[in-house]
Amino acid sequence: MNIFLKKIFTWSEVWPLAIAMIVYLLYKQKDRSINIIIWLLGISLVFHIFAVYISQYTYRVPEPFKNNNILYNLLMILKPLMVGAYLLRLKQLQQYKYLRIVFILFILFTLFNFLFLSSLFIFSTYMVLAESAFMLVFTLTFFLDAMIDDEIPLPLNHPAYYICAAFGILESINLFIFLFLFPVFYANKEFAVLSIKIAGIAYMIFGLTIAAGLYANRERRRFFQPVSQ
Amino acid sequence: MNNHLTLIVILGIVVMLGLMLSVLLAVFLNFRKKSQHRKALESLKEQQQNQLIEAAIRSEETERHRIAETLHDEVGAMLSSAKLHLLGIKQVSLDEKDKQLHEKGAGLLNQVIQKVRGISHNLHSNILKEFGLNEAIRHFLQQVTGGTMIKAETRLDKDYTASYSETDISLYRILQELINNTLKYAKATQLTVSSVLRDNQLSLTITHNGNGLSQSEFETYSFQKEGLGLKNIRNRILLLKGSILFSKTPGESSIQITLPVQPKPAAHA
Repeated sequence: MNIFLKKIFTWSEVWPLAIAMIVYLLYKQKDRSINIIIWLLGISLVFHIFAVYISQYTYRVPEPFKNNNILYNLLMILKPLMVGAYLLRLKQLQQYKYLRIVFILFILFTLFNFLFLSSLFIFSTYMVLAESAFMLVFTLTFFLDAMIDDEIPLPLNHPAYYICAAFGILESINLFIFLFLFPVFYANKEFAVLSIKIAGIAYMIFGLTIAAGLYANRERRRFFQPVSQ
Repeated sequence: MNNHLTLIVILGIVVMLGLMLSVLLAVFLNFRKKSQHRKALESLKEQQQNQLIEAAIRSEETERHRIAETLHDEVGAMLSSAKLHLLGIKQVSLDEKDKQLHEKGAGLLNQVIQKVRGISHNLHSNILKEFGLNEAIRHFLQQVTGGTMIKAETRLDKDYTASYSETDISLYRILQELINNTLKYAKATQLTVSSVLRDNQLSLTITHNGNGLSQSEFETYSFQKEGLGLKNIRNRILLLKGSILFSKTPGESSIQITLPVQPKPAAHA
């Protein structure tokens, strides 16, 4: 495969997020409630940079930092918490009390999982399942509400639609890939490599959709503003 | 076992992604449907509102016409008859004091007849009907500024010779209201009414040296209960699908009305 394409796929968890962050840095946002998502993007970008660097250049990394599983586990905790906090604050989802219960259940499960079932230093498939289930419940509730609500409280260009679409697509692709990643890796290595590439494509769609959402939510440029006549 | 696991993963991805994409598509189509429905509803509301305004304006015009006719044909005729009777009194038989009273009465009666005729013409302009908008504007200006210190001028586009229509009546009413307001509140001493017809758009401008309204003041007053005249202007402009723009600078104020007009039908040979 072309070296450039290979690099694109290797760093597919990083550059789409970087594009989204560049869009944020270029354009001031209209809806300020999105800041929590920006924090999540920033943290995810840093974690993914370290995670990919550790996986690609393991020999350069000091021994205590060679394990990148902790980064993925932390991201699996942070993503639902921050996206959940963002969506729960939207007027559209405030009426669904069960989402708060799901939110609390997720926190309880996370504590239970890392206290009794899994280690924070080993990639947790339980967390993959919990994260995907949580994100799918939240994003699908958001979309179903948009369909049944006659009033449409949020316009279609609201960033919440992009955020939900981005996370919905990412989780629906990655759920089965990461749930069976290790068994597939031992059973069919070629397919495991292909799965990782598909996950990379999912990350590209995710980052670019978030970037589009941030662009749609732009208020004005932060720099190089056109001079009005 | 290998194939089984691979199949589960592939199927899992396809089903989950299919589900998510179906939801996204359904949301998009649903939004489009709702948006179309909302647009149709808004259009219907606008149509209903226009019909209401039109009905209100029509009934106002009918009422004006009725009052104008009554004033002209009945009150005017009675006053003329009263004048004839008054003039029929033989002055020879009157003493000096009665003569003075007779003259004063005749003078007052003349003024009342003139006033009634003026009001009647204002309510229903025959000039507008017979000679068109330009002539009606000139006549109206002459009527309201004649005998005052106000210097009025008209620069009206000769190309606008549209026949007596709803647009002309509304435009004339708007102009009457605006000029009356200008004379009443703006304390203007110079007033110019000009019009330009271009690309089926008639632009009518009133310029004066008084203290006129700004656009925001017009918007505010026209939504207040008391601003009935301005509200009527807004409704008529809305109905004519035109626009009105108020602007003022120290020493000069202007009101520009722009509206689409029907081209004059070609004359038959």
